[in-house]
Amino acid sequence: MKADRTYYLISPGVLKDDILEKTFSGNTFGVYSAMTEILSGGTGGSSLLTGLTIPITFTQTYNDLGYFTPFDGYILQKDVVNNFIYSGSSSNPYEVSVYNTSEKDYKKFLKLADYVIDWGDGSSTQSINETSPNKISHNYTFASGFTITLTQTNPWGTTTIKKTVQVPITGATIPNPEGNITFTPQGGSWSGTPLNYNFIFDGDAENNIQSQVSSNSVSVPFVVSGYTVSKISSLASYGNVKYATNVPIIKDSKVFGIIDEMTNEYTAYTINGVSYYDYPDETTIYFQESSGITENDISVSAITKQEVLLDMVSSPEIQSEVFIERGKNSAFEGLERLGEVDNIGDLARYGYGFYKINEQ
Amino acid sequence: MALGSYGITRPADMSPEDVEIIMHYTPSRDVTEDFVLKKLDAASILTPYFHNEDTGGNVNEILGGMYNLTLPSGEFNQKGIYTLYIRPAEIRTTITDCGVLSALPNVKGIIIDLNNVDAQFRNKFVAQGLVGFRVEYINDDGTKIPNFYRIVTSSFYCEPVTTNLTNSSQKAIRYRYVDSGSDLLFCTLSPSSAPSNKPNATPFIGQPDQDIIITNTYFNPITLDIEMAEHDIDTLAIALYGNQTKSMEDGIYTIYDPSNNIYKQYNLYEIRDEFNNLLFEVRQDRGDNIDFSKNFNSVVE
Repeated sequence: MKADRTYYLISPGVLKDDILEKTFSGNTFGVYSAMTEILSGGTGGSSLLTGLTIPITFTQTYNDLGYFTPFDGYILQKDVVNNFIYSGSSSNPYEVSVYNTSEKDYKKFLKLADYVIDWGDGSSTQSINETSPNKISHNYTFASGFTITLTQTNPWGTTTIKKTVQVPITGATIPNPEGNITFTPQGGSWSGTPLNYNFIFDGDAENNIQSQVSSNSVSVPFVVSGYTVSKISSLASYGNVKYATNVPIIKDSKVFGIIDEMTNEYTAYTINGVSYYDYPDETTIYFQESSGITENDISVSAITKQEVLLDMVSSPEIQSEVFIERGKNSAFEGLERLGEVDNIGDLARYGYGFYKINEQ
Repeated sequence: MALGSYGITRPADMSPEDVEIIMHYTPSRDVTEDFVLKKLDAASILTPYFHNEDTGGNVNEILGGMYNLTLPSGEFNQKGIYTLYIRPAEIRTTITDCGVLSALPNVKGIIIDLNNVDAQFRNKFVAQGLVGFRVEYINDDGTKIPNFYRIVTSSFYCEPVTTNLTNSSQKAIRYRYVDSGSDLLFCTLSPSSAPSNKPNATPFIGQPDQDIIITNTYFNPITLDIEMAEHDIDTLAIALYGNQTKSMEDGIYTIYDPSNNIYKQYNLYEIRDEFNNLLFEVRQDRGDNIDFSKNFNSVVE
């Protein structure tokens, strides 16, 4: 940040209050006071300059704090492969309900996963197909602290999450809110070796879409309209009759557009849901309805900052005075020319290995 | 890769409450030790301009960048040089704790108790309300660590959770985010993660119980040099080029501004010795003893 410095000179020449109005022999005129008198001419020697103001300007030098990514945990902690929450009621204190909150919809590979729950009271294990908001319930037959274990098995390994519930349920106390996760890899150097970690607490954050979005949509669509150039040529058909009304034009097995009406005043047609009107003076107007940003346009993402990328450009900038003329461009050549280089991969393929790239 | 450029300066539109105004006064340029240094109440003397029907926006929309600064008569009552240093307001508080997130132990941050924050600034201490603020640190001896600061990259309400650690001699708690209902704010700072070439080195983000200064970055500091003076170029021009009259009867010499207001009035007279030899020609300022009969219109009528 730079500090600007501005100079102001306050003197009788710029002060309206400095001129006292007088009348003599019918003539009204002003008389200047000295600055010293102005500054001490008020009651008790106070200043007469009670209305002295100056306009000033402020600017802000700003930097974007960085890329917005689901990084700092506000959303990552819910981005899990295996987790559950449980609930109970004091009206039926021996019944515990479990909600499988694993992100099966977010992590597609979890479609391959099986979930098995061990209620911790010696009863047989139970497979879970339900995910939150659906639940499964279990009735305990005696009072104790039970460790509920949810085990998820997929082709890459087994993950378990354990949480302790105190039965009968008397309140909202959670003895071990974090739970404990164990992952046992199926292959590699760590195959069969359990890895433990205090797992993510399910209540760490609100992560429903309502918490992440603002309302940018309206219930009654509004019209978006403007001028463009005619697009009717894209609705031309083969044959003698190039343009015909009410004949759908199919592209990629879908209705691309249709000419709705042709009159002397205008030609109306629709392309991909947008209505166009061509007029004889070669103007074209389009109409489309919009509802703003609807849920169809929204995907959940946290507004947090990835520190390592602050104020940085992720793609390397290539600056070189070297140019290699390598003849005609062949579609089969797996290398890049100088103007095509804009990332590390391109750099490695540039000019028959002109640059030596070492991985570290 | 795209080629392009973008500006990084925008008109500031901060609230006057986000501003701090320091006034320095000295009666002259060469008096540097006997000076006045005090803080003025920015909220009462700084006013933003708003749009009107001629500027394109609605009347409730701040114009942006342009503010009106009142120079209070109780302060600006002397001739001399007033230097106003206008900078973002400083929020002084204490680091309650330095900790990590329960779910993500690699995310480090400082924890601030809202009860240690001045009430007028507490509205900034909300989820993501401190992003972009600068944190500076005070040593135990009261000095400020110079040339050192951190930037707040996120701030969320948090609450402590206990954690089982292998080292039982230390009490270690971690923090988890909550949406509201907490007096604690977890602020991540940049940089706070270790460099890749020295993973065990944790950048300094502060110590528990350390005094810190949190400053917004809503605008760039500016300095105004305001000189209260008897004359400027305009008044000197009046003396040089303005209408003038000299009364031959009483020797009153009057100078007028372009609007024929009386700017100065002098007595002109001569001092002679006993032999009637001319010793001095005198021009004496009449001060506020103005002879109004010498107003320009009466003279030239």
